[in-house]
Amino acid sequence: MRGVLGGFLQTLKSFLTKPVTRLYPYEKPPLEARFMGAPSLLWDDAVDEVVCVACNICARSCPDDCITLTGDKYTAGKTNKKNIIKDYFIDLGRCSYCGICVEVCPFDANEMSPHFELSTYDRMTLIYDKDQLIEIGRGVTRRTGKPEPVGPLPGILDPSTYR
Amino acid sequence: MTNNAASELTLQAVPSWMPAFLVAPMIGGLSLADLIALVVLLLFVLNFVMIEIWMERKVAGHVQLRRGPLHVGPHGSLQSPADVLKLLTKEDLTPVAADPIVFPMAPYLVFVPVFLTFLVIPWGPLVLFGNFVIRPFDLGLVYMVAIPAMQGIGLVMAGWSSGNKYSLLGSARVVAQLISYELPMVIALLGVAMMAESLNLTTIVESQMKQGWNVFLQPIGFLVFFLATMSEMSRAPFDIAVAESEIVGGPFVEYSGMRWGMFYLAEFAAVCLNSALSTALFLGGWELFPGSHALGLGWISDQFGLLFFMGKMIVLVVIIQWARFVLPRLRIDQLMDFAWKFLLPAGFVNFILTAILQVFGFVPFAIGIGLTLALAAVLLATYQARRSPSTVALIRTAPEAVPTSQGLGLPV
Amino acid sequence: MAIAPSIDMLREPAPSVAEERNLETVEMTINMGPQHPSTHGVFRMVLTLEGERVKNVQSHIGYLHRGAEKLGESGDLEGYRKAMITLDRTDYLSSLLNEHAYVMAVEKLAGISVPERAEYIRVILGEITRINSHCMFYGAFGADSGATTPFMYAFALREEIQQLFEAVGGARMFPNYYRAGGLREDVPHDFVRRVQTIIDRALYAFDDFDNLITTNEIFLSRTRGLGIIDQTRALDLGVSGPLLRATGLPYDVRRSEPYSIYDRFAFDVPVGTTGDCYERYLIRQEEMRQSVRIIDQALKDLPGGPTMGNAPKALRPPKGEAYVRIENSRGDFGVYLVSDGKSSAPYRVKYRSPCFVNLQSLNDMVIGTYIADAVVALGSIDIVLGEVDR
Repeated sequence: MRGVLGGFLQTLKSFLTKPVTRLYPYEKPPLEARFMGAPSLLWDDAVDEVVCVACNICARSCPDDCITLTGDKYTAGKTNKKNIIKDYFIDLGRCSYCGICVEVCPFDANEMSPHFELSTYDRMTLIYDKDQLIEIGRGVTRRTGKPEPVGPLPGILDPSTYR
Repeated sequence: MTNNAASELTLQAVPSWMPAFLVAPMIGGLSLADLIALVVLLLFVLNFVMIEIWMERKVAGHVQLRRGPLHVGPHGSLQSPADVLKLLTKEDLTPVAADPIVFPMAPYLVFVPVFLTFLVIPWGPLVLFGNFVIRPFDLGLVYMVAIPAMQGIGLVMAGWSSGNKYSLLGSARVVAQLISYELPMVIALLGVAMMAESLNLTTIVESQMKQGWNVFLQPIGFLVFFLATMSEMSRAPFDIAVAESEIVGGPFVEYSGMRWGMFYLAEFAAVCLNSALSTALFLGGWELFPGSHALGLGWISDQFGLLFFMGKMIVLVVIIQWARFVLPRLRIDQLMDFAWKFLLPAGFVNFILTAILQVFGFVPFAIGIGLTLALAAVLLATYQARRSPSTVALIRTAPEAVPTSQGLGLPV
Repeated sequence: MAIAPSIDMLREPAPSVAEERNLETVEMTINMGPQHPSTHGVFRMVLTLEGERVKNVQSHIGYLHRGAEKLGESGDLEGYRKAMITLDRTDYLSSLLNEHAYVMAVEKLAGISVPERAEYIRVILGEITRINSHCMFYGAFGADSGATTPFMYAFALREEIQQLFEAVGGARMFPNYYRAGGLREDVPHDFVRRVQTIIDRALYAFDDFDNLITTNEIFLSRTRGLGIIDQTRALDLGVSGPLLRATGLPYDVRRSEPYSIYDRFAFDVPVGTTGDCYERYLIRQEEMRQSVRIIDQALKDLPGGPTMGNAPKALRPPKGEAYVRIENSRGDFGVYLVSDGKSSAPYRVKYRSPCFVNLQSLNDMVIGTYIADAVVALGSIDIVLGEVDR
């Protein structure tokens, strides 16, 4: 009897506390600084082109084989790279967001972006091409392998949400 | 309603084998006022069920640290109408293995008995309208036991005709459960009938205004009745008939669309019905607080009684809903144990104590109640002591006491 | 070695009413799963019933087979990292614990040493993962026995833990955070404070868990004396983890064969006496509290310094093999790796998954009980189908 009543009291207590649910589509959840969303290509603002040199290491390291890229001879002459990407596809329907492609990149040309809202009616739209990958990477800076910035980090849960 | 000649005429028109309590609602024929009352009642039940579903989801949400429905209407209050619309537009599937006649019929056989039982409930008075009760006939108590029992037939039909083993199991459970819990319920009601010396629900309510609410005079009876009705409508923790985690919905597995909605409607209407019956039989019906008539405040209840009746009913509904989200489900043998070994004896104890009250007066009755409760407490305490809650011992930090992999013969 | 006693020898079911009165009964075969709300994923049981009693149970696995071991052997570049991605997704509830086993195996294979700080962080995160996983057990076990609220309580705590994983490793369920030789990167600078907040709140939450169902009479009557396995039978079946400890044997790899730095912490290994479902539940509840104890000690001692050892950038271990076992949240989890010394991917990967082995005890638990008990007994094993099928 005591156990049953204890259950009622406990639920009464949680009835009176604030719900922990976050109204996701209306209130965006706080994303952590290290959050790994979809991989994105970084844009070099100094020379106004992608950083990537089409070395194919990311595609070979990908555990899901979701990266496909083709290179082209680099002719613009703004930097000393030999190749530049012509096409770059990532099938985000297969990507497992492990971050290995970012880790292995020797040229710091990509980074995991905070982009995670992928719901769609057509699976084919999940295959992102070069432009889309650059688009989701806008404003993203290379963080992997760099020292952590000191200061308050975003995205800490409100301590009053539970209890 | 109408004159006596007409009622006798109707009585002759019905076959002689029909029991009197089934004939009783037919006495007096069907007047226009009755039709209007039926339509109003149906609308009330449908709307109350919608509110009830919304309430249940809100209760569930907040009890579980969630919010419940939010987006359709203010605080999700229009969620139930939206769900009804969805159910109406959904395809109504009949499985190939299902019986083509019995399968579509079953949902109505489940809902109709529940609805019919609403006829005898004394809702109480309201200014300008008078006393709300559709059929205040004298065998009300027998009627309200007999009619909802027909629900079982509908559920068995649903379970059997679906052609699904899960639903067959579910319907077998329904039968066992309904038969077991009908008994303690009736025994508990005997006490109420003895207190009021009547089987008329309106008279029972009025007698409670004179001699005090039955919940205080019949605490054991109330407990037995409330738990038995909770089991009758297979609400958690007695919901073995639908048990989602075991037999995935029981008799309703194969139903979809509005036929499934019908079962749902019946379930929630039964919650409403049983709360209303508990209110009328044990919680003083439409009286504001116990003894208000004796204090000369009876006029409040006589003017706005309907509101108080609804208020008490809603409190009971919330308690029933709350229990669903707190308690785990009983197993079928434990359920039977509970009915036959706990509720039925308790019902008989209540019955005997009530007889003592009626014959010997209040003091022996109070002593009897006290003795019973003391006995129950002693039994409960010994029962608890026999099974101490925790058996897990802790192994302290002592490496030599712990077997190594080699000691167990495991490969290293 | 003696032949293991068969189920019939262990359990002689009492004659049912039908048998006593020579009534003719018909057995019913019912298919539970792979789409069933309480088979924990895509497990399938074919139950032979006599009325409500289970006479026989046949389990079918493999609906979630993804070839995680074979996938771990593939890849021409970064093969040792790729294997961990698929390993994470086998037991999706104790991913960081399994990562720990895997990186330890790689370190053993390649002879890499791990810095102190990395070891501590691994222990802290591993124990938090254990809490996370046991929370999931708590919720699912409550749901199996018919109570719906434990699930929501468990997920309220899990949400916080996963938010921490997101802060540390970038992903909520599969952080892929450990590397051979250390960690991918150091933890964020407010890590200690956040872990402290989580364990403070977790202790409150455990009390709430207890208030909700631990002493509930209905829950007790549903789980007590159900699914009993005695110690010899459990050892014969190779059962490990809370199932084995519930039979009274204090076998915990963290204590029996201390790996990583577990020999530095004081913690208790809870054991039961009878080995029923309720004790398994209690043991997991107690283990969560012990995990908090370990985390508390590790946070106090957390040293500074690097988090990455002398691991080479491109890993190519010498020819050899390594087997490492850890105490997963479900039992004794082992990783077996073979390197051919040439390629950058393991030649052979094998996981010894505790769920798969523990699941074998299902027949012993279920036969002779009711259908409702079968669901609870299955819940008490706490299987993750991803790990059973791999």
